[in-house]
Amino acid sequence: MKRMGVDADMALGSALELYPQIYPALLSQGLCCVNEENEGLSLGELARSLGREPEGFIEALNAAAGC
Amino acid sequence: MNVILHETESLCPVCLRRIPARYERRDGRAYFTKACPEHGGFSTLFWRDADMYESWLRQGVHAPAKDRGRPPDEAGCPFSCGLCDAHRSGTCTAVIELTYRCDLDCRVCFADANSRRFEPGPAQLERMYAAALASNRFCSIQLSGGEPTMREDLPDIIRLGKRMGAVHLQLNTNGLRLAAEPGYAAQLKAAGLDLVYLQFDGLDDAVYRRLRGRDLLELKLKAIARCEAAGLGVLLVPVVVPGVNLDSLGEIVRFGKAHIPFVKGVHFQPMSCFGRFPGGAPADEERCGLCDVIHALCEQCPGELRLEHFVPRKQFDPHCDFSSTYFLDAGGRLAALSERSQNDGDTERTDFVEKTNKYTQKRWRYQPGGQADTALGRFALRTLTHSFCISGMGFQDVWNLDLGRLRGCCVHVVTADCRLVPFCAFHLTDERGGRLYEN
Repeated sequence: MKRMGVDADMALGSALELYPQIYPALLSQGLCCVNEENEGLSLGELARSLGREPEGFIEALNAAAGC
Repeated sequence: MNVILHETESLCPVCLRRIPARYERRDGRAYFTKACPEHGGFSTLFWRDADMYESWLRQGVHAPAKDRGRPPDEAGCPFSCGLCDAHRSGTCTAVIELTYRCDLDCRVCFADANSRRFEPGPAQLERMYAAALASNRFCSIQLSGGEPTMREDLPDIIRLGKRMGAVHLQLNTNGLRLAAEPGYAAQLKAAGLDLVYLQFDGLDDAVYRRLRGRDLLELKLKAIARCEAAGLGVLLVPVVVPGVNLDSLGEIVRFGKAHIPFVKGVHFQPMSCFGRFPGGAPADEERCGLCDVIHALCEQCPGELRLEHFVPRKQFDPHCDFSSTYFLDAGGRLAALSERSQNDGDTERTDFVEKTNKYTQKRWRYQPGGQADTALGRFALRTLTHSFCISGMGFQDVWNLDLGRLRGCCVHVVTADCRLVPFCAFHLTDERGGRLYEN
């Protein structure tokens, strides 16, 4: 069954709890680390803070999550 | 004329007394100066490009101190570390030192390997992992040393970390055992290792002879080949020294690029004078700042790497760390994903803290995604499979230690008694090599 994936509103911490396998993908997208300052950011906010378009960023994470 | 850029606190390199310090602009360069009432004045070159120093300073994102339930004690920073209420940053990378044994005897070694003995057993390692994950359940955990592959039980240690929930485990290694032992990379990968953080100073054996005391290039290349064969990602980690390899950083980037996707990037570390180093106060011409690395990269990779690609990372003091993110495009060129302007309008970390306070475990909702049959999908997949990160970290030594920077440090060593101590405090040595902390 296809899994449902992450979206732009999902908090980084929640996304990692559900899909820990996306951690290397986050690094590949320019994130240096996950910590108390950013784990509450939504993935959309995180994408913008990394200078990325949220749509492509989410696509990449979902590919890494296998969704 | 000297212009004071800003003031801070530091330590006397001789007696380690806490003393006032400041950054000064002189002849277009940024210097770090301080004076001890007993041992006199000290001045060291910090960044050769003072304009860049100031520009990066403006990009600083400083988190406020956080209540960690541990008020600073009388000794204060950096003498009684363990992340007190004065510390501004949580753990992003936790370093667990597995041994101080090493099969090299490098001229430069932050850990001063082979000089002392410490090898935590399984029960103690479990407590150390637990301390790291209690500080930040999503931190990267770096297994370090000495040379961690000296331990025969390394695969068990990796499995233990994964069992305890580490999302990202990396191995800081010189690569000798990876090169020498067929199947070892695959064994570590099978145990759950996520990344090899490989000491890799260049593509010329003369560099290794000067920094490491022997020819190593063939072994480094073999280690990378073994990791590639095992599907184990590698981050190349060069120590950078002017007059040794500062003029050949572009070669390292081109080598890394040729090994995408297994080589994930290059993490440059200008040499700092702590642990084992040639001794005495380093001369200014021996100093290498992050700005020197960035300028060298742009000069040596013209048209591909540009100044505006390099950004101070938000989790760090802007003078501690930089990064730039690329992907290898279909034409074989590095295309930048990071831009300096991405930090514009985001100069206060408090903004992040407000967002964190609003953190409620939002329920995820259905969104179709992950399809590669659209242009966006193909682009997204390419950025995922062919990404390449160029980053750097400027460690502090006793001559340029800025206690303000130190309080924002998010790279923490887990001590034997399970405290978390900022990396540059843990490895700090006075001018004679005396350590502040030991395991």
